[in-house]
Amino acid sequence: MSLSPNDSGARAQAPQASPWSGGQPVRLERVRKAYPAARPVFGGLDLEVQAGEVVALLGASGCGKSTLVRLVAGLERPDAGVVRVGHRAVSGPLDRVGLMFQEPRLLPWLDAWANVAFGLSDGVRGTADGDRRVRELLSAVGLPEAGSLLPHQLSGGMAQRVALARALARAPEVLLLDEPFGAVDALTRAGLQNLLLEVARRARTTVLLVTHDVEEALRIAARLVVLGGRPARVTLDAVVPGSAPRLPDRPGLGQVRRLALAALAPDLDTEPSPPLHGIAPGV
Amino acid sequence: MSAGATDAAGSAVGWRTGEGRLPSLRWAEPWLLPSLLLALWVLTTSVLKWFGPSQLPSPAQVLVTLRELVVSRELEPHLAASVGRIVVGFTAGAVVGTGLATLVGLSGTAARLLDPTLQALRAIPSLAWVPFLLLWLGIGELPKLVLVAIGAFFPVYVNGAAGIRNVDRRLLEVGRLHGLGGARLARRIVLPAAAPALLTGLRLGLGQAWLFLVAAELIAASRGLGFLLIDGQNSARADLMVVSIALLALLGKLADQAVRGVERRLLSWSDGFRA
Repeated sequence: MSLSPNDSGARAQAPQASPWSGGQPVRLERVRKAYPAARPVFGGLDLEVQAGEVVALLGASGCGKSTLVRLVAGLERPDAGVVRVGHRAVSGPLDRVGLMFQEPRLLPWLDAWANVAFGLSDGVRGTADGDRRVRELLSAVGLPEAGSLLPHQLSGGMAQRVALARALARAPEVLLLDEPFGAVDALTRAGLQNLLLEVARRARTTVLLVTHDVEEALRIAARLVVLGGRPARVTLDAVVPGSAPRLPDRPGLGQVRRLALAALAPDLDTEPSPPLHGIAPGV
Repeated sequence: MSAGATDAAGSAVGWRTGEGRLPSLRWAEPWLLPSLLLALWVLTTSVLKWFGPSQLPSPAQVLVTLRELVVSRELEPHLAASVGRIVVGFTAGAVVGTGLATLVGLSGTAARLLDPTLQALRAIPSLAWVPFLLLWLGIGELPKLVLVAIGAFFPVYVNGAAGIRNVDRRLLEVGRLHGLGGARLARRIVLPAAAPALLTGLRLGLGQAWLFLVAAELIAASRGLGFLLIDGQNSARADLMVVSIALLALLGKLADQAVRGVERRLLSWSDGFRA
């Protein structure tokens, strides 16, 4: 049983394109959102993501990245303003909007196979088509033999891969990912990032990826959006040059990296600092 | 690595695998206390004769009485009556308990409307129900079944409602994200997630059903193990009393084991549940 997919393996096994349809644009229009006894998260936020675009959403923790994703997923309603997926105003979870949480959130009483099948649409689950799709997805995330394992038998990284397969199961037009690869080792992470790009490109899926990792954003996103402040607004909206996946030392990334770091931490000087001398250890 | 180090490692492994140690006697530990009690029973009755047969019959006498009851087929109707009341009463109580637990666990309104009243009713002791049930439902089978159902209901309801209320909100979100709501959310997320608590409730409910059964049969019955107990008391036959008590203990234990078996099967997915 091979549980550590390399990049090329994951790519070769990506699901076939047949049931996939094109992505949908996502639009936030003057969205306001506040929680009781706290300063508002959004005070009229506008953001547009094109159909098929891969956008990385960055920002300090607590800036509202996750709230934004939950609004698009229909798990929360804005206090004012509209969230649109395609032409539909979001008022609850939509069938073709997939969400992968920060933690796997697998259903502990279902094995890996059934957890992926849980993501299928009701009409497909249990049919030969559905079974083939689950098999393809488990292979695509590098777990072709793990279908009968229960969530508590999976490592954190394996569980997160099953969660990705579940999120992809109903061929989402919009795929939302909330810091999905934080708990996965570096090699697996690169494989999953490539798989994600492959799927998104093949189906023209719109991808909104929340991350705190500038390098992850530079590696896979076509566009990088930084949120900051309270209420949050877009402090940087930059196109990442070149086609993904990118190597970190690719020419042209330096400029975006500097802008992103400056937007994320405006108080820090992002120029390399001279080495600190004369500070006694332990002080 | 030097030869000396290898030797040391080798002997350490030999020691760790337990060569030359006594075989484990853990399997016998649960039987230790019952065996001691049985020995004490034999000692105080058959050997030292501290107790006369009318006070505490010896194990041998009890076995003779049990054999007589079985051979004469006198025991059958009593057993059948008690087991039948448990099956019907427990099933009714468990179904109503699970239903109300689901309602109260899922709906805040239902919880505010029903839960305080049900918690108050729970405090009523089993024997206190008997006169009213006899008054309302007569002296037939119905009041006994209802009393057993009441006994089963409360543990099922209390544990189930708590379990359902405490279902991981994040798993509910997964369900909502996949378009589940209402009855489908309950069936596919809430009930499986609350299964450990529900099954604990069922097990406790079954135990309490036996307690309430005896209460019902002690007071108003002409058959059943509880009646056999009272009959033994009225006819000054301690052997009959011991037989009925032993049978109640045995049947209660068997029923408990059955539910545990179901638990093991249904909860094999649970990390914390190890068969």
